[in-house]
Amino acid sequence: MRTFFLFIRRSLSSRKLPTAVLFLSLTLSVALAGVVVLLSEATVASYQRSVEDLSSNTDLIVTLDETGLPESALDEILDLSEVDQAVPLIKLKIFFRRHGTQKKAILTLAGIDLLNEASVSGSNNRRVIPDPLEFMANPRSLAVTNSLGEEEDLKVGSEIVILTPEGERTLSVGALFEEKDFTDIFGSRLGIMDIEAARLLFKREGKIDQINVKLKDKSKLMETVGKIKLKLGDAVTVAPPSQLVNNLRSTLKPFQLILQGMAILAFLLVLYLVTNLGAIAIEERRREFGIMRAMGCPKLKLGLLVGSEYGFLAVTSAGLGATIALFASPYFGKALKRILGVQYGTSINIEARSIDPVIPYVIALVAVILVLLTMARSIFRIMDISPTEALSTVFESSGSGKRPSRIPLYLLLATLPVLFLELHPMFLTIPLVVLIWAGPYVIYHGLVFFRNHFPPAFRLPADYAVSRPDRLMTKLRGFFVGLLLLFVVHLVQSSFEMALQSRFVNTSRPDMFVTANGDLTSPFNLQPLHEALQLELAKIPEVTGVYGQRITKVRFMDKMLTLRAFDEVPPDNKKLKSPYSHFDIVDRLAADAGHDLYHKYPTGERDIAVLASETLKNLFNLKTGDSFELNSPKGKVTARIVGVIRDLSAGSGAIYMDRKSYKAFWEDELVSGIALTLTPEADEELVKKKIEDQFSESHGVVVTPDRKVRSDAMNVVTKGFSSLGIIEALILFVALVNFAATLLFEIKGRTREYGTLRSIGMPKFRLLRMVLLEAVLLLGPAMVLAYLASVPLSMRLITSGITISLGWFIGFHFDPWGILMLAGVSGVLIFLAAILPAMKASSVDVSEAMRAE
Amino acid sequence: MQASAVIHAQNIRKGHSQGEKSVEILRGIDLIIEAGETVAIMGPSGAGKSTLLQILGALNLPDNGSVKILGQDTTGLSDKDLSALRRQRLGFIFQSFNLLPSLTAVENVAWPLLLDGKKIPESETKAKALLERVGLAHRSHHRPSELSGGEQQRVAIARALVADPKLLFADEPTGALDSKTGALVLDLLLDLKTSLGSSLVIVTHDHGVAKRCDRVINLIDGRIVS
Repeated sequence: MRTFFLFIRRSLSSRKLPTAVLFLSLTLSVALAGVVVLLSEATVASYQRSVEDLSSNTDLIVTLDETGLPESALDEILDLSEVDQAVPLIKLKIFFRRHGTQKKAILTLAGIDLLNEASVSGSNNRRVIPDPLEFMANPRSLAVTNSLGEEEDLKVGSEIVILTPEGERTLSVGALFEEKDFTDIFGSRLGIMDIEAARLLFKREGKIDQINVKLKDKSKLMETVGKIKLKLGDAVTVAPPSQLVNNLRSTLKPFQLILQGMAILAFLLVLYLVTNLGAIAIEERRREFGIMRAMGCPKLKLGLLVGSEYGFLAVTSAGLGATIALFASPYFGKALKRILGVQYGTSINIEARSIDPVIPYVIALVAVILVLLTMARSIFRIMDISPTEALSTVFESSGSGKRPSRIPLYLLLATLPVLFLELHPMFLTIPLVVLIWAGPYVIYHGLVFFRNHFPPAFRLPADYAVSRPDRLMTKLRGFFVGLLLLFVVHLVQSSFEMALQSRFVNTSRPDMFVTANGDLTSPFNLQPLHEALQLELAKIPEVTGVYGQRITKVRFMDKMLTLRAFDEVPPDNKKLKSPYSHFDIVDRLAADAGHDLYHKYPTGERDIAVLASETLKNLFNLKTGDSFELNSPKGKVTARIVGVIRDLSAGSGAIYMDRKSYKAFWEDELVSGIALTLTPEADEELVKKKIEDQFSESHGVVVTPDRKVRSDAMNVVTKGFSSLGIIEALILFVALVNFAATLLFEIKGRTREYGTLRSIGMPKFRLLRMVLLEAVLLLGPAMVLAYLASVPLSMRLITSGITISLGWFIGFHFDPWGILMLAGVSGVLIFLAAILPAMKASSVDVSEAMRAE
Repeated sequence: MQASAVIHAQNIRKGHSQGEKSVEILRGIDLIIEAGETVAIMGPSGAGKSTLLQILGALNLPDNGSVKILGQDTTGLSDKDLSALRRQRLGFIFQSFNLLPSLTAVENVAWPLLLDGKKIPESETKAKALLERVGLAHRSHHRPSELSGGEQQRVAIARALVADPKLLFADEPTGALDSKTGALVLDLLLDLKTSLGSSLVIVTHDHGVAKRCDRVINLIDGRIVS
């Protein structure tokens, strides 16, 4: 064993650069994968733990979408003989600011029956609020979590200004409490107040968002669920708290998929690096292994020695990566919590106790196994090295001079048409794999075929390049696959960006929006305003149209769909013919579909016309003309799909409907935002100021001009894709390391040849130019081929692969200038990476090179 | 096979393919080397000297014929047995020294013993003793890149002797050294070989080296001519 350690220590320390590159890459990729998986699991685990804590007090949770249950539901539940206790609560996200400041922040507000909710009013040591009765005496007081108090500098007695449907109202902080039990489920930014006070403030009279039900000891759970549904109708959701975890899981799925995809891609790139550096190591150390064999080292022992060297490197770097992941995840957890809050409106505390320390080490173990499997081929090749290699006097003779086969070329020609055929997307993997595999062969055979037609300056470098086919293939694989991945990632990114841009920018829109918070790009339920404000806004002379829109959620087959309801636009509004004209309608004529909702398909007794998002259509296999049932507070309602629209903001799908129909079935008079159109001569800034002067104080509104909405939307898109930049940088880094490492090794192996060229009179500069030209000869074709290959590949990935994985339909957008710029930058960087080896080659000491080895 | 013979080769033939053609390098070599004998193999480039050395040293196997090394027929041995034979009973000295670049001088010398499963302290003690005998005790913790050509070759000699081999093989041991250093290295090699009672097979172009051997075998076009 000590012999193994001696070999490993000496071997790794004598090749510091490749060891450091491998160690660093593996550490970072395991750390990245570890953090991603750890937080993914910890998020759900934290939520689950909170839910389990809550379960001690609650057996069932009763809800009705986001619109809420009628107040009578509480009495009906309490009437059931199985029910021991039923506690109502109101919950909503609100914006607030400290009194005297302008900085806005967000909190989840829960209106709770302070006397009856066990977690709040339970035994003294578990009590959230010390004296609920005293607290309730002041209806304008709320209790906030300690961490919210710390973050926003709130103490008992501090005053905060909140936005309500009726304008700004001031509340005072009556208590601060620890985050535990019941409070865990809502996250750390939680405020609690009396349910009656909350109802009054937020126009939720007669509504309950959730009822927590505690059953009597011998009551049967499923039987009670049936009884509650029988009483309240099928529209209500009655489920044990554990069901909430499944909902969260499905909400987070697209987010987790993207993060995990990134981590897997990063890890695959590192494995690719391992493979290439492994292949280089064989060539570089061929003689060393030959000497070992000559000295009597058996094949198996040699394999074990080399395997343990890479195994040691993998174990230590993956172990370090896992440890980094473990220690870094709480910090990333805070960032993730912010992202989840903004992206999904899901404020979850990722607790340290929910971070499972085993997970990163399992990932590290998988990484070690994968590295060893990746290296297995190289290790077997090393074991096959003959002891006679030790006697070889010419270093270069050790390499394989075998000419690469032409079979990959024929296979590529045979499989390429699959990219252009309308086959099941699974077939995509065939040309994808063949393309990545065969690309370097195409370049090699192209070089061999054309080199005789090259100008003289290129002929010698071309001859050198093809004279060692095995090494040429190693370099080409590094280039080609790296560049191909780089281009594909860029094309996928630009297609996503264009799809989102077209949604926000290339459509007709109103002139300005009035909201309670100014944020129109967040997909979560915005703090609503009361529709009565629309009548006030309509009185402003410059305003020609006032159109409310409500954004909320509705349950459909265990998924939460986004429901968007819009006011009708009269045909005489020339600026905004229909609110639907600014949607990307893909299945019907935009104008027809827009008007259909109001005129051709008037709301019936039990049915409404809706536009369905492509995501919904794809996930539930629906099409224009189909109908499906939704549950509303008024019972079941049939939604008829009269058009399909493109909406990428709702992962589980969205439906668009007329707000008149929405109000009729969902009994909700709130609006999430109000769109305004102005007279052609109106001064936008003047109107904005007028509205803010008139309504900010009383209603707390924010007026956002359309151009600001567009720029905000683009900022969101840009920020959302910034993480892909890390992947692009990583790909480029791997390609650069591969290239520089292979070329440097090549220079070392060709010392004698370069010495010969110098001895017969080749000046240093020409030698340097020759090495650089060789790099150009490889780089140029690799870049052109990767460029050409990336287009059909990303086209099919976008149009089919993403539809299958995420349910999104995104048009392929070819960004020729962007990709040319990317190719240019990568080309320049790789060329620069070739300068160091070229300089080394040109500075070869002639006498030293010509000396016998 | 004679009782005192350490190598008994009969009708050795060896070829390799060059493109589509097959070239025969050794064309029926018969050879016996006695215990304690020093034999020089000479001949022009391409005569098959190195290939013969590879086969006699169990680094390679003949296509035809048989080779018995210290009584063992190599053609019937597995890779494991061949490796054990090389490790325990044969020693090699190469023209380009062939020290492992990542190991120090003492580790290089001790390496065959470590490969054989010996403990590090025991192996390094023996290695240090040999380094002292070749006059390099003070350089034992230097890496090959820090040693001169002559010093590297002396380390290589110490490594070849560390397992007390019965047979030593040297491929142009002085070829990469200047004449003065080469002569010193050869003196050392012959002294150590004599004190161990081993046999030595040297491939060389140098007539001066050949003159100091008990017997000279001349090889031309894969055949022994004298």
